[in-house]
Amino acid sequence: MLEFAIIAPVMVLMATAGFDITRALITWQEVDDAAEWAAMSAQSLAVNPGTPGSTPTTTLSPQQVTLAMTTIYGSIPQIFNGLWSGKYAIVMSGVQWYTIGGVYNPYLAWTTTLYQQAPSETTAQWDGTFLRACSTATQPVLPQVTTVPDNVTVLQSVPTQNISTASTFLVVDIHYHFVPILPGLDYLTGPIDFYTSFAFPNLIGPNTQVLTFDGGNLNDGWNCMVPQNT
Amino acid sequence: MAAVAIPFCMLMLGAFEVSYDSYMQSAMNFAVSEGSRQIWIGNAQGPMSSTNFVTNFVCPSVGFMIDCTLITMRVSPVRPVTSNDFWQFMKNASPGPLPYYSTGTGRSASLTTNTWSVCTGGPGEGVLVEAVYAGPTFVGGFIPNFVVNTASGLVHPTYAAQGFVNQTNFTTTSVC
Repeated sequence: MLEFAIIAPVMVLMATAGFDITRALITWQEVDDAAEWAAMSAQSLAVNPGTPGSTPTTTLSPQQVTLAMTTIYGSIPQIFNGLWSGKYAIVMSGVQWYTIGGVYNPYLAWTTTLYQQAPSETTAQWDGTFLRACSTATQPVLPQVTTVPDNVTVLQSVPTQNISTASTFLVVDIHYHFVPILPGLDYLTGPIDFYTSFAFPNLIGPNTQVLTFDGGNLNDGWNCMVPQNT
Repeated sequence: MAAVAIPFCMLMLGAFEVSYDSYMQSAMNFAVSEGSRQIWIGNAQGPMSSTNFVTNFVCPSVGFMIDCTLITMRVSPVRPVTSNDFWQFMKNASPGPLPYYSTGTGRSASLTTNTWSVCTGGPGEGVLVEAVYAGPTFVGGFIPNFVVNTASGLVHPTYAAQGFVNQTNFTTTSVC
């Protein structure tokens, strides 16, 4: 009896920790899938083949961007119904390529969040600090990385390393802060934040076709500076 | 010894059930993702029953992981596309905000998935793919709202969903 009294709390603790770690892995899987499907959805919506013989266009409207970003609630319904209490954010951006000295370089053409498009369609868990930063005149080229670094709130690089054929990319970034059930687990592991980015190329048109966002007011923050070819 | 045997066994079974449920959640996430992919690439189109969708488009990929006869799926287009998105669609769903798949509370709750069907929507429409796996439960009956009652006894439902938008350049032959 005494032995069981000693071992029972340890067993419960181990079972809870195991549950939390497994749940974290499942969350990671769902966040990853959500970013992928949101990017694919936006690229689908951007395709406008037009009439036969005409040049296809790839322009997203605010309503289309909102529809694509709200796929996060379908992909992670636990956020929508409040079952998961962690902070989250979804950012959608367009990356274009320009040649400098014969080399293609990526620039951030536009970037927006679900909160910026439809503030009433986010929950109180929205993480307002998770954004993408536009390039600057002094540093117009975005650094290319294999994966977006963790533990950042403002993203300043794009997951487009080793791309030999320049094509307009649509990038979706999602952040989710996992909240474990077991008190202190995040104390042991550090903050459990999932940052995922998915870059999806243009579905139609030539590689250099620009994927634009018709966001209306140019001064409300979504439009980044686009440099000229040199 | 006898006094601790029952709680010890229940702890062991509980730990097993937690692992089993986590595995099922991961498997169901894969199932809805696979079902979504089949719609997105144009293989699964038009209206059909849940059983047809699961048998023909989901099970060939996930059948080795789970018992397909226990899966029920619903595919709903997000309409109207001009003034709707996933937030509005899920919030305004009837009889209540999504996800819902059972009615009642406690051990008397029952599944409502027997009316589920599949409509893959038209080009450029948002699509919500949902799935429920009515799996066995071991000690879940002791936890309120963890199980639902079915004709075959208590089961633990595992829910998964995936949202996406259909490709715009599809020419579907049977838009539902």
